Amino acid sequence: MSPDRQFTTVATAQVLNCPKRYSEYHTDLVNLLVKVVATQAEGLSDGKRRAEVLAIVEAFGNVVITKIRE
Amino acid sequence: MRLVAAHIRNFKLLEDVRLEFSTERDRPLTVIRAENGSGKTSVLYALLWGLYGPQGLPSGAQTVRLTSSAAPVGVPVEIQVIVEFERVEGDESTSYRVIRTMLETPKGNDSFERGQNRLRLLKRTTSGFEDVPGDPNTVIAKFLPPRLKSVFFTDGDDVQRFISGEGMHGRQERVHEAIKALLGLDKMRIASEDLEHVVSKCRREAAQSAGADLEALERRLAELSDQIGRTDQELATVRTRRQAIASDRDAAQKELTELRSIGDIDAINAQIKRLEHSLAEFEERDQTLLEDMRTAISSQSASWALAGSKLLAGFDVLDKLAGRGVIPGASLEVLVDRLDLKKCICNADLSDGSTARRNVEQLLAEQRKVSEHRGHQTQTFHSARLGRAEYLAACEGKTDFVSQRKRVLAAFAANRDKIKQTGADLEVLREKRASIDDEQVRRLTDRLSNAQAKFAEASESIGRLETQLAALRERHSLAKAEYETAEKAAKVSKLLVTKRAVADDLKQLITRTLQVLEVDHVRQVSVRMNDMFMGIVGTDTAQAGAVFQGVTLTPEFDIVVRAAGEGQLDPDFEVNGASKRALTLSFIWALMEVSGQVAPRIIDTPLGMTSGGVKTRMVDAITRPPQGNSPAYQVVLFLTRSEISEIESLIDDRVGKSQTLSCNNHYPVDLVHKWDCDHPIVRVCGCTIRQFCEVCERRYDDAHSLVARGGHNG
Repeated sequence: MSPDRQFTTVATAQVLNCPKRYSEYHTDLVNLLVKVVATQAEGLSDGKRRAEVLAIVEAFGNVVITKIRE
Repeated sequence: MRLVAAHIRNFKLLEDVRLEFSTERDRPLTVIRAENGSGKTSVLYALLWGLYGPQGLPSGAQTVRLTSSAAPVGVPVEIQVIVEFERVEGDESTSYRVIRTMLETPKGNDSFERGQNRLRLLKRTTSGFEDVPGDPNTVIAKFLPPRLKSVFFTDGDDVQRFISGEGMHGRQERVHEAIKALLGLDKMRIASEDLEHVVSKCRREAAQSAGADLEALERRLAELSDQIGRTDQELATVRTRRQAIASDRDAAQKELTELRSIGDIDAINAQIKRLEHSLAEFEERDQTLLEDMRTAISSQSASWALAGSKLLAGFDVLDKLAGRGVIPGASLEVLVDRLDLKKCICNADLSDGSTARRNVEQLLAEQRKVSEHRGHQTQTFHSARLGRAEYLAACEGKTDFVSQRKRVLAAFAANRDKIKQTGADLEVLREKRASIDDEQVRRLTDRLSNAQAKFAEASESIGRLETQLAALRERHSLAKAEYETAEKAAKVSKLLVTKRAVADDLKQLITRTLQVLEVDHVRQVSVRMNDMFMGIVGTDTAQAGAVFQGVTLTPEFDIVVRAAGEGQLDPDFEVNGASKRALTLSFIWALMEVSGQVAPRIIDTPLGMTSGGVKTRMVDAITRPPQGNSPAYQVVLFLTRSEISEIESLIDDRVGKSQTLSCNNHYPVDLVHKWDCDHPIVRVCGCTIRQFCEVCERRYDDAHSLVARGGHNG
């Protein structure tokens, strides 16, 4: 199994320990994590990479914004 | 990433060398046969230079001239390495071509002038090869991280050094580095840091919008985070320092033990003192025994023993004289008595002046002369009679001269033996003492105790920092809860809160995933490495006296070799060369397998120090085609004819491509044919391990039962 697949497998198992508010978003959370890690493959500077991570987080925030306060 | 081909021009003696690498799944092995001095290392360096530039070369080779030593001075030479490789992702593969070019002008005395090295990375598309946008170095580094080049490209000695040479600390660093990079753990750590950065940013923004109270809480949280980061870093530094100290301590201990294996200087000194004392006692006893001997020899008993028969004859004479009453003589006393009484025993008058008296006085004078001799005889007789009796009694009681002499002589000889033995022992010990460098022992003892003190000090610091860190984390957790409660109560943008919470939760998720992966990966690598290593060294652990019981990769990233009886073997000192190679190769292979990375493993002269079963099993293990769903891999071995010997059939089964490198410098001593070239170069031909041709034929090829291939493609 490739490291990426192992990472996905382990993260999928660990996502069950996330707060209940994410119960509908387990797959999304894992995909989000994969996206965050993937930002490093683009050869960006630290600042640019973090801005990209922020953008990923913001995008997901907009999706779950209604759930997060519950 | 899999190598497909390489074209090397003007790199050292590789004037124009094309190589092809096997990309077949079932035949993962590429063999490049080459004898010593035939360009193996140059090919390895050319590939490293082509992929990574001068920084890719080993430190010692970065500043040396890359052009041939035969290249004319002052004439610029274009060095070029083209590496073709494919990148495999799932079932798809993409072909790439790296072209690195540089001008180098030899200046004489091995100096040179170099131009900028130019690098292009091209990707095969439907319309041919096209430049890949962006920095080619970054893309290549992504495919084949340069810090792992020692895993992908190595020579036999490096393979050995990976495991040993710089103590446990160096090994742990190399192993950890390889695991982090190959298993992608670094990427997760960076992602975690990025998410923490996003969390802080969102929190700061939220606090700024909510007012002073939340801002104060945010600042407190940020401050605690900083403190945790600093303490964590300090802890890591102290741990690293402690590891270095431990390495130094172990090395000093090892050296000291080796020195002391000659003998403990203090123990030797004590032994010498004891022996000197014994020797003095033995020498004193020697004198006493000599004295006893002298006394015995001068004794009457000695005379009886030595001249007994003669003495007995004399005694018989005396005995007879006594029997006849000759001795002791009593006439003197009678004559004196008669003269005093003035009357002879015959009643004759012995008055003064009488004739009879004069006659008796004359007789007395004569008798006195005889009596002196007789007195001696009488005395001798008595003395002899007593001496003989004493001698006979001594013989009876075994205290006679002969028995005494026997005893003294035995004691004397035994004592002399002891003196001799003690003297010899003393000499050996004194030589031993002389061979121990006292100064070195003292220096090592100081270094050891210093390292022990520093180790204890570092351990104490680690304990203190760990406690401190736990307390800070506890405070951080409380502050975070306080902040979140305050955040809920405050009028903070819902989006900001959501962003912060998402980033925070993602960070927790990646941290947990990383922890699981790290433990899990290490365990998997450990199990696979153990299987492979034990398979290569051919140890049956159930067998009594088996040296290796197994190898383990510890959670601290050290490789531990387990020996019989719960003991451990130090890979630096207690594992032989072939086993070190087997261990490193097992680690690299296990790591590659667990990581699922498709990358070439190129090893120059890997089979040095190996022979027989170990050699066969090693090659079998490192060239075995992948089973089931395991990813394909590629192994390129640079082998000499003697390394190939005994494993030809195995290579035949596994090899996908083979070529042979030769250098015309070896003509006429080793090479059979002269090439049409007047300067030293390395050529490649398509000969397999079973063949020879006009380019590569060597004088002792008969011994390897090679067959002529005919012609050459060099």
